Amino acid sequence: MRLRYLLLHAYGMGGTIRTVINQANAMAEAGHDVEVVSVVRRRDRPQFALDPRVALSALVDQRDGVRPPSLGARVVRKLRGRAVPAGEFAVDYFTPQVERAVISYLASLSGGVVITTRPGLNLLSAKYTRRGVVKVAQEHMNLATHRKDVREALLRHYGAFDAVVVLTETDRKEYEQVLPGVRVERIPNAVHTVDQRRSEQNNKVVIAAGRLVAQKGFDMLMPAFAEVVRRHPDWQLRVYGTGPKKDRLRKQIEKLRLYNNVFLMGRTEHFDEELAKASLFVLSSRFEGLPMVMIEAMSHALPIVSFDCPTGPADVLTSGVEGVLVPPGDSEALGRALADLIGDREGRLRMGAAAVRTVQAYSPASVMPQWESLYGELLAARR
Amino acid sequence: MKPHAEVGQVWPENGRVLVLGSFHGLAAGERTWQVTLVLREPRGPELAYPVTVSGQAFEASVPIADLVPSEAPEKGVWDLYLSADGTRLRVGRHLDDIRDKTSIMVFPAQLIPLDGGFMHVRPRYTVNENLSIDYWYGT
Repeated sequence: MRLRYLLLHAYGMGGTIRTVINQANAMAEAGHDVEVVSVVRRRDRPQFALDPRVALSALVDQRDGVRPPSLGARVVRKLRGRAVPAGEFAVDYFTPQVERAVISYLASLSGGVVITTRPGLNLLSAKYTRRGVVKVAQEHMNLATHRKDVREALLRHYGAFDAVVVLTETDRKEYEQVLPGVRVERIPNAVHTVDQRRSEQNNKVVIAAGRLVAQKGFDMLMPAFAEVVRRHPDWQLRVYGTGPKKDRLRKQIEKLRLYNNVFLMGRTEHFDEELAKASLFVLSSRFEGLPMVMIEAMSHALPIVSFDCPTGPADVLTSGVEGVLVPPGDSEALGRALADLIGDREGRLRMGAAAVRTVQAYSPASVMPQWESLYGELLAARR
Repeated sequence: MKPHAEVGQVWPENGRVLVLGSFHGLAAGERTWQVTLVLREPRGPELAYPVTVSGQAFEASVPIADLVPSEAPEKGVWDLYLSADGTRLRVGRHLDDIRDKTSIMVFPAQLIPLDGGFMHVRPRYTVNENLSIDYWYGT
């Protein structure tokens, strides 16, 4: 099969980039003819290891910076409007030059499969990829998380796809409902391995991880952990990640007198080892697509305590089995659930073992064949 | 590892710095322990306060109002020790798995109003994960 993955920035960091590159590598490994096309290029080398059999190219080289649009291009945009809605979170990438490059690339393709990986690229592919090419859209975000203009554009144009692929069953149902007649599939992202060292439940450590941004809800985790410390004063919360909310969180830690229990750990290159040493993982996000870090934690036999936020936690685990879900935004309930599990080592061991069983569904060995058979079926349907 | 005074908790509150921890590598015994603060620069000034010991656990409390000596009125660093009859143990935190404490285990500063500005007093871990107290004048 000839597979082309179109990524906004294959040379960048981030969850989508990592999972798409993993997938491209797996397809090359399975013997397919795979290309990764980066819309822009802002670095010399990709940050995630690419299989040498995968061909990598870029449409617009921005290593010397982003060229301002010409007067002509600005006039055309004014007259025709943007091809990518302003509410696309990455809209700033889509300068007139970039839009033009993507459109002429997509229009030049014939045969095989083209896989686009975010709303802006999906919309361009829906409009400009020719009929002979199998078009697949990957959606890494929940429908409700998209801004209104993006949601409307996607409802109008996604009918052109041979398949729209989402990350969770909740998303699959939602997209299917608003896109009648379109094939909507759920294929989760895979973690790099599920064969990890397991927590022995010996350390009084709870882990949270993610960029220090509002979406991750660490501001709601702090009061929850204050409740934990009241009942279990010798337990620690270690928050891995960096980001703009760091100073704000530090102030909250001071105000809640948590500086002997809550630590902002920054980045680590040994996150696997840190997970294996911990005894619980907590997810306090306001929303998620599919929280891969939670799935990684589960592969280390860590039970999960999480807000039941859209989407992900409830799609991956069942409350009471691999962990505990509490109402979204309810810090008190989050704190209570953490403190209860901290007092119940047997329960943690039981839930951790269940977590390991559940994450087998997110191993490369279970996920990659789903992609392969989807692409195969879609190509066969064309012949 | 050399005998030392391992820190468990640090509470910079109510005009004091309270340090809770335990003796490591040495029996506290029946001796009378003190917490000794040694100014780094200029070397010389020392302060000492009584320490409560129970088994191997200790509790040391330092009043921050004493920490601004006339030898260095603008800023300075005090290193903390526990001492008793010729024995001196550095106070630090070495037995856990967190490295780079100086940027991870961060404590709040307490502020003392002075001449229209504030004297800031803040405990912190050194690069060697020992406990010191910084003070500096600022707004």
